[in-house]
Amino acid sequence: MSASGYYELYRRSTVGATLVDALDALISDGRIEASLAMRVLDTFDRVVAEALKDKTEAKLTFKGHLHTYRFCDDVWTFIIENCSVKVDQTDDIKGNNLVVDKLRIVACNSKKTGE
Amino acid sequence: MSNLEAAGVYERVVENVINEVREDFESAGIDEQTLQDLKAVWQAKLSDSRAARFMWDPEEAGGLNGQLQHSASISQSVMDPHGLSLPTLSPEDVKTDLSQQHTGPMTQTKHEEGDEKQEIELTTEDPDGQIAEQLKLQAKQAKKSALLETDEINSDLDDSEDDYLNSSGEEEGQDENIVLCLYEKVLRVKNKWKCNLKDGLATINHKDYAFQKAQGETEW
Repeated sequence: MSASGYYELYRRSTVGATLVDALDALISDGRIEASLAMRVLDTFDRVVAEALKDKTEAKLTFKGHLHTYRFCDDVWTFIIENCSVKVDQTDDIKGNNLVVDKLRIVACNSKKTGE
Repeated sequence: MSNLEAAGVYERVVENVINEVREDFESAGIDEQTLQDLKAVWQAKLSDSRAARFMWDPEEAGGLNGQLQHSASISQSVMDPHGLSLPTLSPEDVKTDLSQQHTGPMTQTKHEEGDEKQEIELTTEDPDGQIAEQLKLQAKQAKKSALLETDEINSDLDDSEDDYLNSSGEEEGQDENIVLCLYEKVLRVKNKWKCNLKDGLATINHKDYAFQKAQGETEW
C-alpha cells in the first residue's frame, strides 16, 4: 500500500500501465522529475479505487479449475484454468460469456483500503 | 462485446487524475502543455490497447488517415518540449519521423495498412528489431526502478522458484488474462474454493471489464 493508503495494484491494469508508460516518456525526455510522476501515480491509486467503488455496477462470476492458490502479504493470488467468466451489466445488454485457458486473479484485502 | 463500464471508468480516471495533479504540476513549475501532453499520450495509448472503445478514439470513418493525423499531432507536440516551432511537416515527413521514433504505438501507425489482426501482431514483431528491443528493455528497467519500485505484488518475498505464479503481466504482455481486485471473503471446503471479490478491473481476451462484485467457484 502506498503512503496515501491506497493499493498500488491497479497500476498493472491497462489504464495504469498506459499512464506509467506516458509518465516514463516524459521522464526520459527530461520534461518532468520522477518525484512528480510518483505523485501522479499516488493520485491515480486513489482515483481508480474511488471510481471502481462508486461508479461500477457490473457483476462478474467465474468458474474453473483452481491450478494455484497463494496467500502472501495479505494478497491472494489465484490461477484458474479452463475458466468461464460471465459479465453481467445492469443495463439491458446481454451478459458476456467468456472462456479462457488461464485466468490470474490478484486480490488485496478489502478491509484495508483507505476508507 | 459490452464493456462500456470499463470505458466509462477509464475515461473518468483519466479526467480526474489529470485535473487533480494540475496543482502538483504547477508547484513543480511544469507548464499546462506538459500536463495536456501527458493526457494526450495516455489517451492515445489507451486507444492503442483496444481494451475498450473510448470517446476520444479516432473516428472509424477517418480510418488510417484519421489515426495517422491523430498520432502525428501528438508526437509533434511531444517532440517539441522547448517551445521551438517545428516546420510544417508533410504527411511523408511525419511518416519518416514516426519510423525513427522508438515508441511502439506511434511506429505502429505507419504499418496500419492491413486488417486489425495484422496490426496487433506488428506491435510485438517490430520490424525495427534490435533497436526497438533495446529501447524497450531500457524503458522497462527505467520504469521498474523509477515507478514500480514499491510494487508490493512483486516484492522480494515472492518465491522466485515458482515461475508459473510469478511470471508477471509484463512477460506475458497483452496475452495475459488478469483480474485485479479486492477480496471480501475466501472460503474453502475440501477442494472447493469460493471467493467474493469487489472493485475489480479485468483484462480478458484483450478486452477490459470493470466490476463492482465478483463471485467465483473453483475446484483445486
